[in-house]
Amino acid sequence: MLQNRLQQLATNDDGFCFDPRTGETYQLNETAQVLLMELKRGRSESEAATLLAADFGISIHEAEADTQEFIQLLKMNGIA
Amino acid sequence: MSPSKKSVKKYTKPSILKLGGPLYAKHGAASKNSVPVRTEIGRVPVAQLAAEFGSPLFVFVEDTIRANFRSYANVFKRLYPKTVFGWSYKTNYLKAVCAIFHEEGAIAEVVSDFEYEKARALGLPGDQIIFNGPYKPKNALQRAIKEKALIHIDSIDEIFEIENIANSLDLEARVGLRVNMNTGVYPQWSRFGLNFETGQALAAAKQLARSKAIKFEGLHCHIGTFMLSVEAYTIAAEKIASLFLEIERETGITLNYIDMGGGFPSKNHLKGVYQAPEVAVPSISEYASAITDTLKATFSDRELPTLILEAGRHLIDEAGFLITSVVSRKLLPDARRAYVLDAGVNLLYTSTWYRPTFELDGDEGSFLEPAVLFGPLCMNIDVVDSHLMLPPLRVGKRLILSPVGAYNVTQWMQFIQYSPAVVLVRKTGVVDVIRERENLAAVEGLERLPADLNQTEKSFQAQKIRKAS
Repeated sequence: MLQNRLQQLATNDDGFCFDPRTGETYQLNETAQVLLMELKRGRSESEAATLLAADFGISIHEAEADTQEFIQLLKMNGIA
Repeated sequence: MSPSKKSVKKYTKPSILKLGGPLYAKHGAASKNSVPVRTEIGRVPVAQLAAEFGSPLFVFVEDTIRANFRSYANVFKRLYPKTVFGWSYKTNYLKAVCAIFHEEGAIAEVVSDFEYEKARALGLPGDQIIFNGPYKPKNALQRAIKEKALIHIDSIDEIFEIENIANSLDLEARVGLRVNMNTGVYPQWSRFGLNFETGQALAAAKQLARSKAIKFEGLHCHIGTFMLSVEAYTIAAEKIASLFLEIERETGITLNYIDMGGGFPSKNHLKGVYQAPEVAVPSISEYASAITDTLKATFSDRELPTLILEAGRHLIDEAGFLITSVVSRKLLPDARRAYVLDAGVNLLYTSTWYRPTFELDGDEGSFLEPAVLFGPLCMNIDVVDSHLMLPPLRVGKRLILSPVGAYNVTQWMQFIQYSPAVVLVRKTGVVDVIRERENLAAVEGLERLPADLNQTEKSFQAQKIRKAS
């Protein structure tokens, strides 16, 4: 469900993001762009966190907390 | 992104920001600003200071204190050689700070028996102390009279009190009269001293001139704090100088000084002032010219009185920094980012009126989002700033707040948390602790526990067992 919803978002390489369903625009930072791309591809929250930890050399604990928080942010913004 | 590929990419917390009108730059992209970065304080790395002395940490820079004082003193001395500089103890009465100002040639301006004792304990002779304030306890007045301190009269009752003490000691008290006045600035400070416009100051001066127990030496005023109006000092100097001459004319005594107090602003950002401090705050030369030109014009045909000044904030604010760290982060229900810092309003008394500059100890990029900074107190009011734009920060990230050198380390509260250490970066680059971090013994040092309430851990255990059975 989350994947379907996120796939509707239009994003560019600068992190600019447009939600055609609401007309709202967003700006993503670099880490958020990476996470959004993985979630759009259908990675689970846990898989995305593992990738984030490996890619940036951070603890899995921090990666999981940040992934969870990012999804929370998407919900608060009415995206997810 | 591959799990097997190790990367050295700098990690930033993921964040998404809804774009609105105010966040757009003229080309349509989100506004790209950055938060200023400070990696050193007084040439000592912030990371080293925090590692060695902990966080939060107040840091003062000796070079800045001395440079500020010299530049201010030079401006006044050049325009008016007969200037005496007092250091306002209440602004920051840490011993090391006061000692630096005294070494630079400042005398002490104190406003309580506690501050008087601090100045004397630092070795300053009584006759190098100006004793101001609305309440001076009897024993403090006795000591000040004996030690020939200059006492500034705040009320008529205080004149009687000083006369009585001086008579009982068979000594002459050295006094000046504090005068308040309308300088066109709102709010008018009218609670200290006696009023100029109503004639109360002149009446009190006549009373002082008649007294056999009092040596009436001069006049004092202090028109406000963080005074952005130079014109107010011109008006104050005109009024106090005219009163000076009138007193001499009507009583026949000779006065020898005019004390214009302080109130000169620092480069802090006063809340409610739209312009940046660099624009809003006049230079010290402008204040100096306003005061000294007026005095020189008024006393053009006679010897100039000594000019005394009692600056505080202007001299110390920019020499003080507060290092604080992010201890946790959360999202507020309105999607704003919130951070809990290890320093809060308990340490930043002045944050009620002033908004310091927030710097980071390293670049975190230009993706800025609305953020709220909370302090560590379990109190809803502990909000350090609620309208900041910050990059997403990780736990442990350090922020450096400045200027915070004025009033914070005197007005901070012993409340819930221990107060942090205060260090001084010396001229040599060595860092000295000038106030240790508080501990339980220091905080509880003055408490007394009645013997019957002094329960040991053992008695708590026994109580628990009794209850259980």
